[in-house]
Amino acid sequence: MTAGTAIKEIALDDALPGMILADPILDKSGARLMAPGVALTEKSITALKQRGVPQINVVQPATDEVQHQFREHVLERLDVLFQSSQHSEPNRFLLDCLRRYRAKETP
Amino acid sequence: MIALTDDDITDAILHLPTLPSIVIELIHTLDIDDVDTNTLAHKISQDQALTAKVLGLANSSFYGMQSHVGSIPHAVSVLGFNSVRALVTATVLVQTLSSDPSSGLDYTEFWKHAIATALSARTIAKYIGLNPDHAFIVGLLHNVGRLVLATYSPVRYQEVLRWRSSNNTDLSTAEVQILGIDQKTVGRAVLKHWKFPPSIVDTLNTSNENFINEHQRAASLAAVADAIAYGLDVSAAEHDRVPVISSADWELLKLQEPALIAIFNTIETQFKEACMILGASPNK
Repeated sequence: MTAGTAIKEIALDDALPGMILADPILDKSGARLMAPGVALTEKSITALKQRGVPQINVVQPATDEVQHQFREHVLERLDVLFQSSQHSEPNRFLLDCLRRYRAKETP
Repeated sequence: MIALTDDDITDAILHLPTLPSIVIELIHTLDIDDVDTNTLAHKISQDQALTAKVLGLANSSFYGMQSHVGSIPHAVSVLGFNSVRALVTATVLVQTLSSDPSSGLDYTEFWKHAIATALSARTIAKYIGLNPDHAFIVGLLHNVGRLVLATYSPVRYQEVLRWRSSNNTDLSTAEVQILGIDQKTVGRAVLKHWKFPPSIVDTLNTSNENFINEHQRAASLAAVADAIAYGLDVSAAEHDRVPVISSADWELLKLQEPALIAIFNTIETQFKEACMILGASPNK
């Protein structure tokens, strides 16, 4: 999931074309009906209703403030995760790469 | 500290659930070139629940297949027998070794981390020219000794968890401190018991042993994959800490930043879906 976005579970009846799926939709056997990141269309909503999918998870774009807080939180968590291994050079390198990776994430 | 003895480990392993025969057969084929894949594909197909999960994975973002994979023999022909074997083995292991509430270990967290390590190992393998399906199994089983430790002695395992949080260390360090044994040593015994070939078993070497074997690159790959999975925080457990990566392991792989970023990306793209299909994410 990209940074600074929130995921919201909604009933399929409330789904609108243009909403972006946050999770893949699977049928009962585990086969994938739709991939995450895909925008819903009138047609796909109808198809999901016919398949009896009750609710879906969609992405909610966040405000700048929320995004900023989210990023701060993610970077703090990285420091905690690496707290006990910072003395190791490979760990420090991995941490730096992860920091840059997280910082580049765009909603 | 009273260290666990070899007898304790043997006893713990005997208490593990029996693996279904199809997986025992598949494990047996791991180091064999001449395998009757048709017969095995047929046998896998007879288990409908297993088939559904394996096809779910075959059709997931994992492989990015353009066309729908509709059956096990079809999966064998388009993905190769190695991939199907890895998927079946993973599916069955997650299913067989699930949930023992008395152990104090959170199984969902355990398997989430194992799946992320497997995905991580598979992705790194492609960068350094090792077999990705083999790496997937190695990654998945990297911490399997932990399950044995936690189920064998739940009370003492609680002590491990407490020591970890109060001393702010990674789990392996706490296990060595409290139980006197590295979970990889236990893992090796488990994998030998299940008759995994040396190419898998020998990847569980411990850092203080420092022995170089022919499977060293796969072993280093698994150690780094494990650290990356913790770094990406996929299991998101409060007390998770990234274990120390040894310079020897790191230098062997020579991973540069662009490769690492691509690896992070691939793992995060595939992770949720893999967990859902394998049943390691009960509404969490």
